[in-house]
Amino acid sequence: MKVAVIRFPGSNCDQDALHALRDQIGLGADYVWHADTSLAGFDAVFIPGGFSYGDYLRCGAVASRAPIMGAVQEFATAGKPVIGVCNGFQVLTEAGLLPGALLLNEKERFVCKDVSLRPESRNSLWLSGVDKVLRIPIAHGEGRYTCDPETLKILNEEGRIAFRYCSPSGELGSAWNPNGSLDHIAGILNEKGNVLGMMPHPERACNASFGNADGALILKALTLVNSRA
Amino acid sequence: MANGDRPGCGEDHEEVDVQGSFSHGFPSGFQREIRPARHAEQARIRDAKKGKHEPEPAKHGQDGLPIFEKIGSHQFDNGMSPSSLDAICHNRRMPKVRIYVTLKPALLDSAGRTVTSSLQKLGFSDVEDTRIGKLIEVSMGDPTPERVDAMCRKLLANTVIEDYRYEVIG
Repeated sequence: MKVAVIRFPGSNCDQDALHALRDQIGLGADYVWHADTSLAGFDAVFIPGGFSYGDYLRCGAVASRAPIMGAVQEFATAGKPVIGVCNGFQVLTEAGLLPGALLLNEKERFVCKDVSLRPESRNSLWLSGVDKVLRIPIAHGEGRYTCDPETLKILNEEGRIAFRYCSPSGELGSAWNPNGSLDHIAGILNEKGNVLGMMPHPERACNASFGNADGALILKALTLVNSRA
Repeated sequence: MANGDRPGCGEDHEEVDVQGSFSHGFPSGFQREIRPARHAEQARIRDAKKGKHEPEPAKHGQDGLPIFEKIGSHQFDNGMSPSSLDAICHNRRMPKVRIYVTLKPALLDSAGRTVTSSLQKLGFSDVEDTRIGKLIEVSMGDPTPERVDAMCRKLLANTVIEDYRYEVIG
């Protein structure tokens, strides 16, 4: 199992992601530059957070048209695991790999804090190891998920809402929603369940010495994937 | 790693077309402003003589952008130096598309809401709502509706959350 950590100009969680995948989860992982066009030799993709292309135009808009995204598209279509965190989630929605979009937070502020996340789906490899409410940090200014009512209905019916913001004991409510996200959505899945986009940063919560290791419950799912090699 | 140790420096000249025509090379707009486009200027001179507009095919480099060559003042028939032409001829003959991108009306514009509040505090108590959008001006040779629409859909607007409209000027 080898994970490609995609680097765009302006990515800034790439090193955290590589460290978490390699040193905390014990997977193979390497950087892939956005101008590359191949993901040959990789079994999963991690699109990290940051401010790709300075958030010009819209967050993730320019990155989603980068040369490597053609290979990511093929990768996702083939059913291989892809995760986009924070700006990576924005890139995935801009690329059309996930529905909806992420808007400026309801209260306009950049929010950086730990939040509680309730797992909402059983349909994905990514959630196979998640059996409790998670405590994972967020750090974003544009994380207010939105989509049209029809898409929301489909996401709910197909079990494609991966995580919702909640209280530490799992209750939903606007008090626990840090950015005004539609239906308290923190992360969603594609149709096949192999592509996960989420605003919270699991790679920042993979070591108990940093407070908690709940993020590892998500990333550890990759150890279940059979490597092609 | 070719460029991985210098993210953001824009050194990746290799152009790979993924979804249309977005260039990931070095931003070319600055180069374009430094020197007058030879083909555009020649076309302008010729137009003045012929009295009609027949753009000459532009020379393009590997990156798909026009090649600019050093030209002397003797080539201009209006007596202006290249430097003063630099200042005024850029985009003068190039049609400009003015694209307005706005958040869909149903969506909360949280930045606009803050501006509304600020305007009200400044005494503009009749302000009820503010919506903030983007104005994008694109100078391009062939602004057909098909091409401008494609440009908006592929990059400039996210039609999940935004509407766009445009006008061709100049």
